[in-house]
Amino acid sequence: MSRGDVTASGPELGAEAIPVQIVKAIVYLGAGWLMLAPLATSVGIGAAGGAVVVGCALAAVAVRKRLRPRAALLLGAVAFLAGWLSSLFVRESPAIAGALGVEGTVWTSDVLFFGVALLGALFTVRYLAQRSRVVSVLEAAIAVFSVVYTFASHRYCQLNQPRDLVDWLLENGVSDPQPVLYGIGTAVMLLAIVMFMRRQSAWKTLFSMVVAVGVGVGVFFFIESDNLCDASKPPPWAQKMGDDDKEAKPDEDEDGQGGKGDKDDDADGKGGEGDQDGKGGKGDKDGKGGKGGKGDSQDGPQGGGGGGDGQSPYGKPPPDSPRPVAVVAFHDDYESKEGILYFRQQVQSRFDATHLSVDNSGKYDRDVITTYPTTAPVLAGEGENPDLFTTLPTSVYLLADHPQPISLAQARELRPLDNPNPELFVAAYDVTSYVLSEDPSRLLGRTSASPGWDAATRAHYTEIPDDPRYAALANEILRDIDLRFYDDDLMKALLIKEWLEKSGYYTLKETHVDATDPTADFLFGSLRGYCVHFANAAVFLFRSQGIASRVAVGYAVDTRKRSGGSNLLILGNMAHAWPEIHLDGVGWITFDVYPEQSDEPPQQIVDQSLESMLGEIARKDPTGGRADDPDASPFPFGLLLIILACCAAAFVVGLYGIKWGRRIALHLSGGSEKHRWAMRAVLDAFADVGVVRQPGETREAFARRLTTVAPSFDALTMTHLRAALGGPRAAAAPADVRALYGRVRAEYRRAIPIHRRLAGALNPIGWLWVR
Amino acid sequence: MAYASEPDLAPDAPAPPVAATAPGIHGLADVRALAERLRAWMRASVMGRDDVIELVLIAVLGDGHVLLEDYPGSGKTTLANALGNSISDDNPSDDIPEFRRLQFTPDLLPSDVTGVMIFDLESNTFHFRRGPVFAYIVLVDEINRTTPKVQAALLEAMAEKQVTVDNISHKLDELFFVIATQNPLDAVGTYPLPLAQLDRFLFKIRMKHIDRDSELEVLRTWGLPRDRKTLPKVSRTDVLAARKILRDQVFVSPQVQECLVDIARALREDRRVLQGVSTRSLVLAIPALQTLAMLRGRDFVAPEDISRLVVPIFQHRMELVPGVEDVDLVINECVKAPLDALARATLRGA
Repeated sequence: MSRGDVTASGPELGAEAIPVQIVKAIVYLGAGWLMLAPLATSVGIGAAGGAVVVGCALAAVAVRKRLRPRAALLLGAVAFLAGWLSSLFVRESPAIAGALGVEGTVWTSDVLFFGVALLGALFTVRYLAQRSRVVSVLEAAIAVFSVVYTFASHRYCQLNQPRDLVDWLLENGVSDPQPVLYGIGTAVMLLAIVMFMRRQSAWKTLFSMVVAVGVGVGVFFFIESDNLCDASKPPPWAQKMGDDDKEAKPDEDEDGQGGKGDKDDDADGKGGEGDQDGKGGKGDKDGKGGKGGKGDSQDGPQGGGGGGDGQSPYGKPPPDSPRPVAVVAFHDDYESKEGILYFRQQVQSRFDATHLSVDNSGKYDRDVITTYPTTAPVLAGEGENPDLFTTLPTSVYLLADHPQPISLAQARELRPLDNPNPELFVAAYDVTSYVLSEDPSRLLGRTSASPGWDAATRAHYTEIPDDPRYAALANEILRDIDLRFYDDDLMKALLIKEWLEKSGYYTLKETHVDATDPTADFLFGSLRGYCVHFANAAVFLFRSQGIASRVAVGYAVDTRKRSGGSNLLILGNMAHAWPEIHLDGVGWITFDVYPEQSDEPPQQIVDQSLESMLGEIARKDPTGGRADDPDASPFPFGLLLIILACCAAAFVVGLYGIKWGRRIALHLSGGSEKHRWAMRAVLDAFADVGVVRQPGETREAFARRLTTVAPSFDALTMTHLRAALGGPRAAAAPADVRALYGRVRAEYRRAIPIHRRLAGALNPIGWLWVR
Repeated sequence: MAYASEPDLAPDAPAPPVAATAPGIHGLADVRALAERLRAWMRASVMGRDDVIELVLIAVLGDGHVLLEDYPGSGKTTLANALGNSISDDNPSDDIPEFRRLQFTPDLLPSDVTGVMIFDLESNTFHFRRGPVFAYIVLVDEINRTTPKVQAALLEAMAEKQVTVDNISHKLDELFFVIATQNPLDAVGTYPLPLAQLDRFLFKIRMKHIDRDSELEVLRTWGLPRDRKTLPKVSRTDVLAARKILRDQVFVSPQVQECLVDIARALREDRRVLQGVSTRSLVLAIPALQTLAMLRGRDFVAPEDISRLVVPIFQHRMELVPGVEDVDLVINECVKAPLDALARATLRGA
């Protein structure tokens, strides 16, 4: 016995049928597209598609020609290594790069890797799958893995995964693509199980299903725990949130800011019904991934950028969730000098014994707009000197709830704007911003505080903790200041900023939340912290030198890695806090500190297709993307569902038609064919209740097996066989056949309980199993 | 092919022409009665070997020969003897006995089997003296103990039903039937039959030890006088007539023939098979299938007959790749698809 030997593993594992191979190739194409779409260029994906087709075809040929497994493995390995190494060589070799250019090099390398190497790998897998059942399970696992991986990446925070599909769904008016993704995932799972395991025995199929489902579930949870967006477990800083209350000042709770954070938590889950200022719309977008209790760690972008900071600036570092929170459409070309665009949401200027917080008295920070425009434009109070600033119009479309509007740089005016798609955007408004047009070096020679300020205002903007170390440190930093600028506030601020940038170390790992004065803990301690610490430390140092300054909170978008376009996507993880200083005759200017040392990776590149897609929705879809605009007709899902249901119903009706047609044919058929129809009718009846002939079992043996159930079936089988195989002399008399059939039916009715017969009668596909 | 047409022997042979209507044998029912008589004879002598008896019966009526692979003392000779006794010689003039037994040894010569030319001093001519193969039923014991030369002489006799001595062919009796035996284990000093020679046997039957009750029955009845005289004998003419009726009246449909050919092709294409089955085996299989159909009371060959006989017919004709040993398994796997196709064909119709 050598059953286990691969070379002798039975004839039933020969070449697969052509349609099966085609369907498998299609499954591989889909899996390849899902996995490669985020990785490869379109040329690479095309090459991978070609490799899939060619690899499947070659494997089919190899199986048909009885290539030996060792030879197939060798061929596959050689192709894989050749593709991989040559693609490496192309990418690394300067001579080739010079000859082909950058794009050509990338394309060549992609074609070599995704074309040749994938061809080798796929050929091997397809070949082995047709020779060994174990590998056919692996095939199923690959398909399930790719789909589950891609869809699992979608959860919680990735609106844009798998981006092409989700984009299409969103553009066609599906507000929540998740059910569609689940549907596709389930379909692929079923397809994988049916396609890849259909040649196995029942037990092995069961085992393989368990393996496939296990792989799927494993990938799902592996990704979740793999910090893709860290949604499963609240990070340490989120756990500390509860303890932060002691830092919150009671008076802030009174004015509603304290409750804001909680409200945001809720809005995340239930879709923000009727928010302040009537910005309306459903907030579903951002919260669809959150499962119940996970909302706490997930609502960072809004809470972190918004009301939450009113209580504690240190409680939350910028959340690392890359969830889109807003789209900004630029109406004019603009590039900032530093390459970073600052979108301010609110400022913190009031000093409350330990830290800065939002001033709600209405007396200060009047240049900052904190309310949404509902019907009339909202204008900012006097602040900036128009001569030194350029006016820049933008439109902002919020994807997530924010208690205050966010706007570029120094906003002068906010005007209401029709929400182009209330399903998608929670608010939309036009902004007219001032951006500094003057070179900062030409602003030297000014004092910080305006002469017109009263004492209270001066005190408001220069109040710092009662800690001599701030002034001492600032003096230390400014000890070597050029005497020409001895009295210049801007130069002092620049020096302090420079010192912080050189000495500080940017990290999200140290939160300083346990210290009574987190800023002091940061500044006089490790000097390791994140933007909030740098901003507060800078402001306290500025203020110690009498420079009017405050902390702005919002989002900073690094545009240096953008390739352009008039739309800008703001992600939740771009939340930022930065210092602003006031210069007499200029106004408030952004004065951010950029630590030179950091353990954080550079800001991720925004998915451009999503950016432009959302921008297009915002610009082109003024009616909200609903059916009242005939040009933007959404995909008719209802109609599609009805059509699908009709098709399914017609299909089932057709199956029943065939089932009953086969029985009626018995009564309609002529004499010489009657025995066949009688046999078919009986076999159908048995198949309906799950009794079928085994492969290789003869009709006589099957009839004998059923002797206890239907003793006359043996006689009917013999009559049928004699009529079919007995030559020209043998023919079954129709009356005999009818009589035998009647007897068998009667025995069948007696032997099979009524509920099984009823279920059998309802089974539309029983006749398919008749062999 | 020698077997493709009705054996049409030259009149110089000692055998009389087979009567088309032998007394008592007119239709399949008569053939069946005859088969039951033969079976009764063998069952009366050999206990617990009904499966072997049926195969031997099929071989006798299907005009084939059998090779029994069995241990000494398992009743081979008894079985052959019973078969020989059951046939009555209704043609005494031909001077051919019903039963002969040959014990093959390494020093045997072909002439010991086929016969020899001797010089008759009286008539001053050479005269052929028949060897032991001139009998209806020939039991060849330990066929693998003798040299290939002797084996070849016997196998020519089996295939052609004639022996050639000194370039003169002598016809054997029409009812020439060989039961050969060999010991599967005791292989020292043997000359294993090559595949080409094994191919001449219709069946190779591997006998298992009989069950406990049958063995007890053997002990109980051993030495008791057997009441065989009451069993009616079967005449040689009847057997030959039965063969002809079987061939004529049991229908082999084209689908069944297709199924047989498909099985043979599947066996040849299987990766575990070095040498597949011969066309001769298919030709030999047809009468065997017809006989089994008759034994089962049918006048047509049914899939079940194929399923029953496919292993004994094919198992000794194939050579498997090294490392694969279970020939039954290979056959049973290869036979599934053609049998399924046949089953579907019956439903589909012409």
